[in-house]
Order: sequence, then C-alpha cells, then structure tokens
Amino acid sequence: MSVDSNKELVKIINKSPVIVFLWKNSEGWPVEFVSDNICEFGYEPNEFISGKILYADIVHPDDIERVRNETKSLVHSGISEFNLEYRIFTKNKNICWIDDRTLIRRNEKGRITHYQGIVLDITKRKELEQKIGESEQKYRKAYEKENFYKDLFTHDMRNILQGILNTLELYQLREETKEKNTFFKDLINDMHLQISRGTRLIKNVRKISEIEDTNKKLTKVNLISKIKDASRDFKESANIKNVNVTLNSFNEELYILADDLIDFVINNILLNAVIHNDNELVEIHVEISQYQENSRHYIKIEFIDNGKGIPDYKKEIIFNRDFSKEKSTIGMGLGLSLVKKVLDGYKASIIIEDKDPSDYSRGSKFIITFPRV
Amino acid sequence: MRKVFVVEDDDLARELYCQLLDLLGYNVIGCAANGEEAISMFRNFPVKPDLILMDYRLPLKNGLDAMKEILHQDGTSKVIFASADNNIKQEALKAGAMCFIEKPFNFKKLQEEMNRILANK
Repeated sequence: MSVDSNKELVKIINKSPVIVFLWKNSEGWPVEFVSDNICEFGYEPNEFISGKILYADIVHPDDIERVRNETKSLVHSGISEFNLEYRIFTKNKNICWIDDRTLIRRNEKGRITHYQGIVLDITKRKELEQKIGESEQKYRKAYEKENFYKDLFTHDMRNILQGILNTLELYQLREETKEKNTFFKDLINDMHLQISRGTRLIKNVRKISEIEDTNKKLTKVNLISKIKDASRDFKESANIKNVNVTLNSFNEELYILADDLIDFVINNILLNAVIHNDNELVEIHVEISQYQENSRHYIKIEFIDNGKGIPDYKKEIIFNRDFSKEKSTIGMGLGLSLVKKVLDGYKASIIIEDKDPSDYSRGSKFIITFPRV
Repeated sequence: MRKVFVVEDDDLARELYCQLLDLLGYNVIGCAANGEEAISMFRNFPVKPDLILMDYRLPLKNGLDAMKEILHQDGTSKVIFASADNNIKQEALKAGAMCFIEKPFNFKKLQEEMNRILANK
C-alpha cells in the first residue's frame, strides 16, 4: 500500500464512527496505536500511546472482570477473532457502551503478541434495548395483572355465588315444612335470577379471551346436528322454566365453517329467549332455510321466540357492548355482543326482527346468516 | 345412610355443604379444610366414606394432589370435584374424579350426580 493510500485510509477511519486500536498482550492492555477519532470519547491518542492511560483503566469496573475472563476463555478456545460488548468511561466520566471486535495477532511461534480491534459506540442502541426491555416488562406485568384480576373475579366470584346459592337452598329446604310466604318466595326467586346473571357474566368474561384468540382454526361443522345437540342440552339445563324448542329444516346436513364457539352462539340465543320471557312455557322455533346471492350459497337460521321482544332502540345496541364503545351500550348484557364477535369470525351476520312486525312485544326473531360450505 | 367426606377450605361453604347434605339425608363423617388434612383424615377413617366432595384450591396441598393420594390409599374411593376452576376439569377426570361440578352449582345437581355415582357402585 502506498504512503498516499495509507494516509487516505487513516483519513477515512478518523472520519468514521469506528475507532481502531492495537493493544499489546500485556497486563492492562497497553495501547500501541489508536486512531485520532478516540477524541470522540474526549481522549488524546498520545495519552494511550505514551502509557499514561492503559486501556483497562477506561473499562467500567463492573465490566472489567467479565471482559478479562471472556477474553481469556475466547483466546483459549483457539479462535482468531471475537466480539465483546461492555462499558467504558469517556474522559468526562460519562459511560458509553461499546462493541469491541478484536482480531488476535500471533507471532511465528503462535504466541499472542497483540490484539487489534475496532471499537464502535453502541450507547444509543443499548439505551433503546433497555427501553424495550423495560417496556416488555411493563406489558408483561400488565398482562399478569390482567390475568390475576380475571382469575380473582372468575374464581372468587363463583365461590361467593356458591355461598348465596347454598344459603338459599338451605332456607328453601327448611321452609318446605312451614307455611309458604309469597314475599319470601319472590325474594328467593329474584336472588336466583341474580345468581344466574352473575354466573353468565363470569362465563362471558372467560369467553372473551377464547373469542379473541385469533389463532383458532375453523373446521367444517354440521350446523343441524349442532343446533339439535345444543337444543337438547339446553332443555335439560334450563330447569327454571319449561322450554319447548322445535326445529324445521329442509336438510339434515348443512355445513358451515366454525369452531367449538358455535355451541356458545346457539346456547346464548336460546338463553336470551328464556331470560326475557314471562310465559309459563317458553317456545322457541328454529327455522332453517337457504338461498343464493351473487352465486354464493347461504344458510339462514331464524330463532323465533314468544318472549317479551326487543324494542327498536335496543336492537341497535344489543350487539355493540365493547370497551371501545360509547356508554349507551353499558347495561346491556355481554352475551349477545360476544355472539356477534364469534359470528364475525365465521363471516356470518346476525340481525333481530320482531316476530310480529306490528308489535315488538310479542316476541323476537334472531336471524343468523352463514356462508354455506 | 350414605357417608360423605367434605374437603373445602372456605369455612362458610364447608358449613353450608354439611348442613345441606345432612338435610338431604347424607351422613357427613368428616370435613377437612386443606389437602394435607384431607389425606390424613381419610387414612384414619375406620370406615371409608362412600363419596368425597373435593375442592381444588386448598391450602398445603391442592385438591388434585390430595385426590391422587387418597386414590393411591384406596383405589375404590369415589371423588366428586366441586370447583370454580373449570380449567382443571379434564385433569381431574383423568386423575380419577368421578365427575366435575363447576361452582356455582345447586345441590339438586350435586344430589343427582351423587345418586348416579352411588348407583353405579
């Protein structure tokens, strides 16, 4: 390399963020050469070259042992170059993180004479990493907190409800031998309803995370058998009222793309018909039909009940309860909003109509439309 | 009279279970408030219970581990899990519970399960 080329190279190095070092393989790593841009850290090259400052003097005391040990172990492993990250002090006693890439220089006998390396200031990157680390920790804590409260709510609340329920049952069992008191009977009935409401809330809170799990895979599901199974299970579990569910389908096998949350959807629609119903016998008729639109096939399911019906203003907000939504939706149940979310995931739609178009209070019609597989 | 052993850490719940079971015609032969106590009491019963009503979250040893040890002592024991932790249902059934009832449940439901299990004995 010519003298001019050498000068050019030195110029390039000094203008770059990379500082070049040549360390002697001696205690404290005396510096034989350092590029002029060491002044970026506030030092003069001569302070090192004269031996006034050893390289080890500027390495952070908390890192020096690690750097020594790692260097020793890397050298013993027989490699020819290595990379270390550690902190050094600037002349003004500020701390900088550096990336040190070192090449081991040996003599003819294989003994290490020098280490030649380049040193890069990575303080900004390290600060960013630290911030990311802190942020991750913060989110992890928030996630853990959320899980804690979810657990506290679902577990402890269930136990509280269990206590209320058992107290009521005990009261009822003892009262059976005494004269009936209508007031207390109604009171007990109301408390039972509250317990059912609380239980549903807990179940729905649990469902939220399941519904938000976007990794769930949809598979081909026979909708008719799902409705039949859900109706049968529902009739068995809805022991408060008499329920009659009838089904009218043109086909025994109609397939849609869904997951196990389809049971939650059907159950919620049926439950809604029971809760908002003052009749001695709750009647739910399920009507299934299909149609074609723009060369695509759809399955339409209508759940028609004899309940109290839903006024128009509620029809608009009944599926909208969400954290991000306005306050008007607060007070509505969570179940139907979750039903809508599940159906969105199936690319299905849901609307509510009145059973009798002239009088909403005669019952509701929940209409769900699924793309047919 | 069928003998029932109740394992539940909540004092009120335990008391209510005992009273209800008594009113429904069962003989509560013992109550344990933690997993270790359940194992030790079960070991010392001169006559083993026909049914064990087991909670999951218990001090010292959880209901699942307590049930496993009880079943190790006597493989014919019938355990009904009654817990608010629905996520352990499958594990409880796999480990040998006869059924899992999620809290809150009504005693009619419990009674049905108890009768079903006892009828299969």
